[in-house]
Amino acid sequence: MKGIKKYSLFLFILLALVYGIQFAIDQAYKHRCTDKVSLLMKHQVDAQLMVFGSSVAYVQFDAAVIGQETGLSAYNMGWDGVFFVQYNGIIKEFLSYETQCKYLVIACDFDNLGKNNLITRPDMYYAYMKNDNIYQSLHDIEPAKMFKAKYLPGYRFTILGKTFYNHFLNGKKDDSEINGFRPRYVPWTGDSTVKKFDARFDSDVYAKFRNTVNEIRKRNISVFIVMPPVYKDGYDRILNSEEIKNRYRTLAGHGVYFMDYTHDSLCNDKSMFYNNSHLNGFGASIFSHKFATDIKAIIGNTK
Amino acid sequence: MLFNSFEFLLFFPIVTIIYFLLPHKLRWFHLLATSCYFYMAFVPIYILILLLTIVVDYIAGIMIERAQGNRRKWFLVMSIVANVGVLMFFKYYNFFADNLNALLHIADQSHSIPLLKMVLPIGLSFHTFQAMSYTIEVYRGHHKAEKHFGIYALYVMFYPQLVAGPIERPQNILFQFHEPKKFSFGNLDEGLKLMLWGFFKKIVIADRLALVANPVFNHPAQYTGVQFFIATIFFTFQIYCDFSGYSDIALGTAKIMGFTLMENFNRPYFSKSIGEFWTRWHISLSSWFRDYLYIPLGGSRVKVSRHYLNLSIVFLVSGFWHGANWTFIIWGALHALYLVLGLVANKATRKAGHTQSRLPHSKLAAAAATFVCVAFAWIFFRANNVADAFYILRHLGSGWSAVWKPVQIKGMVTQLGGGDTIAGLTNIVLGALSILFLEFVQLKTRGRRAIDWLFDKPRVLRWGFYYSLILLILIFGVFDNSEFIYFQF
Repeated sequence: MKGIKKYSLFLFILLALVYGIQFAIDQAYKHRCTDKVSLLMKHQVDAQLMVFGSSVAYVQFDAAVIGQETGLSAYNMGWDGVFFVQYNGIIKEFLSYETQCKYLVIACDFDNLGKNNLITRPDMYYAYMKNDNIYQSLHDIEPAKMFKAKYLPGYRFTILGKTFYNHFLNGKKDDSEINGFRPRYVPWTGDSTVKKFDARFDSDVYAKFRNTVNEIRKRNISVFIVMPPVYKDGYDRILNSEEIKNRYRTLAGHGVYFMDYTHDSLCNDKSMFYNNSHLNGFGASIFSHKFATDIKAIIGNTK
Repeated sequence: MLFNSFEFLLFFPIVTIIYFLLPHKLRWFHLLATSCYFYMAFVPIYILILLLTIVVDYIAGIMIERAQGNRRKWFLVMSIVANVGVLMFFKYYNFFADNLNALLHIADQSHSIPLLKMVLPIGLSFHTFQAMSYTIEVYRGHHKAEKHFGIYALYVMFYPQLVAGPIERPQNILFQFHEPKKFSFGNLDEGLKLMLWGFFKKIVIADRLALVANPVFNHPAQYTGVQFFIATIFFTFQIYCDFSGYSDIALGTAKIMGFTLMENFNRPYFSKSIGEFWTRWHISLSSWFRDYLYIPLGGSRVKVSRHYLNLSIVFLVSGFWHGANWTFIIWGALHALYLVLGLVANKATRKAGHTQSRLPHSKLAAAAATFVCVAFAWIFFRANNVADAFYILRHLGSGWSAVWKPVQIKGMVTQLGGGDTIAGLTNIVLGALSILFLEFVQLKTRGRRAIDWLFDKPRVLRWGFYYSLILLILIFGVFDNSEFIYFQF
């Protein structure tokens, strides 16, 4: 019994130490970091018009312009490299506390409903693993790793890595962001040699997308599913572009709007893009004005 | 399955708990089955090679014992040929084919020997040597042939030491498989402490040092002398921590189940001569070569020139054992040279009537000189090829004027961090601190295991040390599941 007592005590103290340090790091991270994910997780983001999505949201929807033209407060929650399955948790977390939101924009690229095997910038989410919305969306991408990160004492330390600590040390908001929007004034870097391909689509992810749209609607928030401009050469290479768009189109109705800019006049002007699927800063400015005008027409009609 | 993997952390306690729950007569089967599973986690089909050599050596052992006269020798030869044959084919075929093709090319011959695309069976060099030590010891009459096939198979395949040693002797371990083992907290304490220290050395020290050393040795043309110096020192400790860490984990794992494996390392970098180094480094291999090659060749009880030749043969073979590359042969040759020069120097010193100084500073100088010689030889051991090794040697003196220029130092550090200054600085500083910590603990624990550093101190301090090691592993460990270096042998 003496041996068992000794090991039990040793393990107990070890677990207390590990959980204690983990808790301290999480709290310090939450306190210190002011990136948009942290702000949302601290429930400090609550605008009347919210934009979610991947980089097609992040660099193309100027929230300040949209807000100014519509007379609404607006915020851009877009982030580079995330598929819907990852930012779904962020949307759900936002819905759990918002009080002001009337319009929620989901900017979709053609891969949005695909599944990837790696979480983008996991360091931004580790401190929030106890949050069910965050955990579930990350678990959908890397189930084994996230399960261990949440339930195995000390496992999270082994995956934090230098990006987490860099982010932790430099956790201040990106000053180049304006209401979450970050224009990219960079020259063309697109690949004109890419062969034709099918955009990724996963029926489970689509089902989750549909459910999230329904949840947004339950809160009486209008949903705008937006497909931003795509440079025409790039668009022509996507074999299943119409199929993907139809998937979104079928969700339209009863407060859900599908807005397709993939054949907009901007799509013919290469100087407005820095690659096939992303407008540069100039293109984003023009597009944001266009979008604001269009959304104002819809909002105005529904008022 | 790597020791430093989540799978092993699940595998090992489950195997151990079942082991103690089973009656003694079934335990060998359980350990054998789990060892098979452990081995097959690497490349499953290669278990057939292992089984082949096990069957051959099992039969050879029994036949050696039963036979009379020269027939005994033939069965021994059969066993050695089978083991060495497997080793030569899987490990050295491509090396010989490659070199023969080079010679044929020089001789303007159009024919070439085809190379085989195959993965080296993991632990091949280790378990073939362990198997050969069995048949040799039976032949010498030092050990009875094992009649129980399962126990013999377990002797070869016992999972804690299957893939990277220690290379055991039948006298040390076979009888342990016959003995009933009772669970004891004493064994659990000792085993877990050994494993903890082993994981610390591997995950915190070795894998951290590798982050700096590997890029330099893999692409030497991009680096300069200062960086070669740092990478060499770091690799010197990386290989020690990697291999001794593995050995500690192996010993600890076995200890928990009640098995005692032989020590494989004994503070080798405190050695005051190369001869002493080889009594402290990879002890199981060096003693194997001593008992089964060096002594049969005559050892030191021959003419001086023959003695030097024996040493050279042993170390050339030892180098070759480590890998099918000229770099390993040169590494072995260097150690042979060191030993011969050391003997010559000793002889000259004795002739001149001088005795070895017992003063601390001369011991320190001897240890430092030995360390430098060993570290120098590691350059060949680690380099990917001979050209790279000589490139490093030729450029060891380059770039040193930059140490006085902060901007250039920053550039070197950034380069060592793969383009990231903070990463480079972190790895260098953490690497250096971990080396200092390791040597400090080893210095303080002479005559004891390093993990028993505070063995006579109150529990609070001892547990504080263990907790610190665990937290250091979790927070500063490098968890990219890198293989142990000696797995490639």
